[in-house]
Amino acid sequence: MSWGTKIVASVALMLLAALIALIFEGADRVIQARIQRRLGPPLSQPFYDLVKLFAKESLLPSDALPWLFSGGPVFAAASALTIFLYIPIGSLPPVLAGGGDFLLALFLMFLSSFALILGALAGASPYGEIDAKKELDLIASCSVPLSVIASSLAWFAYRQGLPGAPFSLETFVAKPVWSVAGWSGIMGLIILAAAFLSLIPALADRVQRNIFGGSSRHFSGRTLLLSRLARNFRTLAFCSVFVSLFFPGSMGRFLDLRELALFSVDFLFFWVKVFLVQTVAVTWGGAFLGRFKNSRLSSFYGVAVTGVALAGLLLLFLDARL
Amino acid sequence: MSTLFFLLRQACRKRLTNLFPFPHMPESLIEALHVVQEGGMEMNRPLPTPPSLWGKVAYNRERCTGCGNCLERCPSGAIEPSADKKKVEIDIAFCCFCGRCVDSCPVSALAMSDEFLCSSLDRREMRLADSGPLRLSGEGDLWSLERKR
Amino acid sequence: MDVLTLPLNPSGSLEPLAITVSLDGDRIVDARIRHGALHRGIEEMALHWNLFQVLPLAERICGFCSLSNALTFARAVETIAGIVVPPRARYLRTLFLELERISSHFLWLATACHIAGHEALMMAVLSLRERVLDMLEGLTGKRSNCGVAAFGGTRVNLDDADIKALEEMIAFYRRELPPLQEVLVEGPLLRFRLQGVGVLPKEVAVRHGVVGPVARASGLYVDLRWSSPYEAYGDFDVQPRQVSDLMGRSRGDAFDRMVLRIMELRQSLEIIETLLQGIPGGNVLAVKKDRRLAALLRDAEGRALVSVEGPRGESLQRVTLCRGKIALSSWTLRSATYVNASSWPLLLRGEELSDVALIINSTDPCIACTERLFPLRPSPVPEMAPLRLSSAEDGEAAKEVAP
Ligand code: SF4
Ligand code: SF4
Repeated sequence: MSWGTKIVASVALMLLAALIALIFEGADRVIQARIQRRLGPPLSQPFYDLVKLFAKESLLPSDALPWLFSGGPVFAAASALTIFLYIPIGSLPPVLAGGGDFLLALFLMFLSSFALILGALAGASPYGEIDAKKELDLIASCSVPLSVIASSLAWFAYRQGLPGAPFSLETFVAKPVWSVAGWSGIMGLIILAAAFLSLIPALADRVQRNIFGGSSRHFSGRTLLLSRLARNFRTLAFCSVFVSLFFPGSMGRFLDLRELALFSVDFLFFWVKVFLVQTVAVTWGGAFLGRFKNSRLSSFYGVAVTGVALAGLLLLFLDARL
Repeated sequence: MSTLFFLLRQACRKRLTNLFPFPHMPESLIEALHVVQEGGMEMNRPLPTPPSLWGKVAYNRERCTGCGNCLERCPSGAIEPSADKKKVEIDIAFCCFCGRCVDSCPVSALAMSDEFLCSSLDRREMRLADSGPLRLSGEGDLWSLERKR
Repeated sequence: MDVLTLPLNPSGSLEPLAITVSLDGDRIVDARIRHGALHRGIEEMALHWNLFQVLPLAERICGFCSLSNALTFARAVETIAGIVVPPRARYLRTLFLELERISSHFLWLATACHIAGHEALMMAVLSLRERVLDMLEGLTGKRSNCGVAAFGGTRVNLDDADIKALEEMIAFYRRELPPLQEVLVEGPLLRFRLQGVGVLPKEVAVRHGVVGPVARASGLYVDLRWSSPYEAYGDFDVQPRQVSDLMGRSRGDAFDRMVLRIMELRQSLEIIETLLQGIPGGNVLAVKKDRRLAALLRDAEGRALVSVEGPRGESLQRVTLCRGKIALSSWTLRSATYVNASSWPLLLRGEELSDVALIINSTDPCIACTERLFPLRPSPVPEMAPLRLSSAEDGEAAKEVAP
């Protein structure tokens, strides 16, 4: 691809991802309301919110570092959107392919979280600081199992000889890891998938109890909008990475389609899968789990989920040995 | 697991909320209500209320003897002597729907109706000088404590 | 040690309290709680009103213990005036006290679920609560603040259809409560969230003199219905429920308080069930004629100290009547939360900041009831023109707000 097409494709994809993130948020709210036996807002509510927040004044705390305070959310939203450039959508290759795009996606995810936290810290309020610190703690403890999962998958892909670079998402999409695993391998993969799934609600800000309204408390107007968008984009990106890793498979190939039909069917199928994952992990997971205090969550993710992920790694290891 | 089943069951059950007056808030509620009045739109009815509901006070001016019992009993000072000092007037805006005036009236000139939508843009509309003869339970939608005693 | 002192706004505790916490990292080393945001001057107001007006006022001190407060007041006045409540009215009062307890405990459960982040469970609990509210609405005409209490009896009477409806309600709860209990008590989620939070050991509970469900969850046998039965409670088995009966042991933490309240819900249903079978006939008012009641109250003089076990524990009132007027000469209220609040700093110490709301809520605080006990300091009242609300055009509807 030439640079020009790449830029056009990137912008188009980012806009599309933003749109889908908002639609999914609306759907999330409707389903949540259904679980609570309410009607819930209309599907278009996130768009109304967007317009409303956009029109509101963005307040700047007097002690804040202006560039970091307002730049943090912008950066967070932008880096979360960039992730989509590294994710193969359906049968389409990612716009910016590279050898280590899986790691890059995770890195961008954390970058986006950190940018938001830095923005909150720049607000120079003790309340924002407390929540930001808690969030930092949680993200740090989430990164442990996530890196275990990532490296075990890559190792397994490399070991079983999946074609392509081991850390590339395309490798996992081209040939599902499930197809090269034996019984214990499948067990291990299921465990890893469950561990990955359990991380999604935490990163979607669904299971932690934010006493002061979370790290986005001091944002208002456009900065609040961006911080919320960043969270939505991150959730969507996370679900997409999950789909690419554990839930590949092409509808178009199954239906024996070609060319444009193949691409478009797979494209739609991909978003349907992402929607399913998001509904299960974020909407239902959030409603099921409730909110926990951050110290318990940190120990849960840092110890229990890491342990589970290590068990998965062990099973994969056994599978590769046998 | 049981929690999950509980939530699944709950998600499948009927919606709890009654979407009164409209499922989603219209741009202007007053305009929407005008449209409803002209028959241009359907409105969700409020939930049915039990006949025993304590709504707005109803007052039969004719029957009132002006004894002033209710004046003494009203905790919120909603009842005032009328201009000619012979009867009373009730300011619904002050009423806290306690029903004490109904209790105290020796001639049953007061009753709690089951009308509960009593907001108004004009404060003077909230002053009740007479609501005609009371229809006690069995005859209509008004209810008095008499029945329960 | 680097201690950060931070005032928590009501969104941090979900109650109108001014809490100042000293934090070491995430741990609370000290907490100071200042009341007073909800002081409405009710006691002062009551001194200027007549007794008939004060009764609905007592009802409106708090929405969820409204009957307990009103009934305590009515009982105090009856004690002074020597009015004997007829048996049927005593049963009805018991019935409504238990209905109120059910509604209040359900509301507490819903709040606990809300603070634990289980919005879906909260809605489930609230939908169950709806049934008892409908019942109250059907019986009394109001869902809360239902003016049941009257001097010398109750203002409502039941007929056979009402009793049948009550029995249906009990059957409904018999059916719907066990699945909820399974989720809340046996399920792992709330246990993970609530267990070990806000522990109040038995010895400390005794020392702080806590009352109501908080004391019972700490393993104390504190229940006025049992220890000094009033109204019709003497006729039933109202043995205080203990968490250790159900869970094997009790620790006195937030989880135990939840379990205890669920047990008390079932106890209330049992009480109502037995009550309905033996409800005596007769009058519900001791003094039917208004004029006679007024005369009785006018002649009454003296003071009484009366307490009633409300949903949150003992609600105590000291009432003094003056002779020659149907009016109070003093009125002091001490609600259950006033007593329980003394344990809050202790409960909060050593806990995490995220748990402040959870811990304070686990004692089922009712700030509206609590902040009635502050002595009004006599200070010179500045001269002020009476507040007038007048309609735009004419002065006809003008009206003084002064009581
Ligand atoms: S219902 Fe109560 S507040 Fe209303 S007018 Fe009658 S006595 Fe006064
Ligand atoms: S108590 Fe009845 S009769 Fe007496 S003034 Fe009031 S409404 Fe009239």
